Amino acid sequence: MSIWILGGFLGSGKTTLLLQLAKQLAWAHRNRRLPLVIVENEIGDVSVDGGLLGDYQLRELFSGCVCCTLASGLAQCIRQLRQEENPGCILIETTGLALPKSVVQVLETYVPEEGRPNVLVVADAQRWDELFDCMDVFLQNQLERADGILLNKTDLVSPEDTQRICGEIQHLRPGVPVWPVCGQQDNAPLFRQILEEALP
Amino acid sequence: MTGRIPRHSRADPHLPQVDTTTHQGASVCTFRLWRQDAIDEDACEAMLSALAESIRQAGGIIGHIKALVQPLGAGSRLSITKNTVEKLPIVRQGISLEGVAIVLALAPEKLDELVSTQLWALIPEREIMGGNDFDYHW
Repeated sequence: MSIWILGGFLGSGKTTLLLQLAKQLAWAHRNRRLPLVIVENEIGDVSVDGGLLGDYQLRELFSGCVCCTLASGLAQCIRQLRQEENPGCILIETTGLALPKSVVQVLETYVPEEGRPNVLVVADAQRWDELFDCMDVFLQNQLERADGILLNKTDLVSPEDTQRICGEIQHLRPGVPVWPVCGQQDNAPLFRQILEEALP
Repeated sequence: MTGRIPRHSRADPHLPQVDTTTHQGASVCTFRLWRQDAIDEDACEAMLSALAESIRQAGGIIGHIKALVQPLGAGSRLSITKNTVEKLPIVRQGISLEGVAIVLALAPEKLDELVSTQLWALIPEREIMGGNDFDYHW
């Protein structure tokens, strides 16, 4: 069973990209005939995005964050899924305030048998400068432990800004690939490439 | 850190329900409203725009405001006392609005107030002032 974590700041486009990633993960696991389960975490107690994910098996964790207040809830959820569904893949969408590195820590601590999860983090090109001005440390922390960074909403900034922001992110996370994407377009080739490199 | 503004329960779903907490320094406000009158998606859209503007004017940084607007639509009332389930179709006109506003650099009390203000603005004045067909318990 592989576990994928999709993190990134509030409103960066995680759910939009998650739908594309989920499609590719489902395709990649088609021969194993094991289900893909999406674990959706919401800080509030309203399922705003759940309806968008209706094509997949869905577990929702509300009113907290799986990197801190709902850490034990996440561990329990993964164990329960393993026991009841035996999924081929679990895709976790964190809240926009979660630190993916803490989610990794939770999984490595409480469900170490599942191995190291794959971590993708979404950054918002349109709001990168605005947010970095007031919460640079938090944004840097969100990028930690990322295996790859999706710089989303590049259609809303100039090519020069896209290049500059990619450079800034690469400076923060040397060696980690940064892929400029537009969530409104189909990024299937990119996600297939990511999966080919990550999946055994 | 997580905290919650203590509130009295508002049982009537036709009135705005707002619940605000804090999480990692952000104010998180969950809101709900079920209406059977003329409120539609456009009104909800305008409400969210007005809310965003009021948050910005108060100095808050919008992390994300997202909401789900759904028509209430048709349903059924099911009832059984012996062997047969009796089914009574129910058509509920109107919408349900549920959402969350996650805001930085704004006190939870202030966010609570701003969201409440915008939600209450969706309620027809005649209903607030009395003289309608509804009998709400305050």
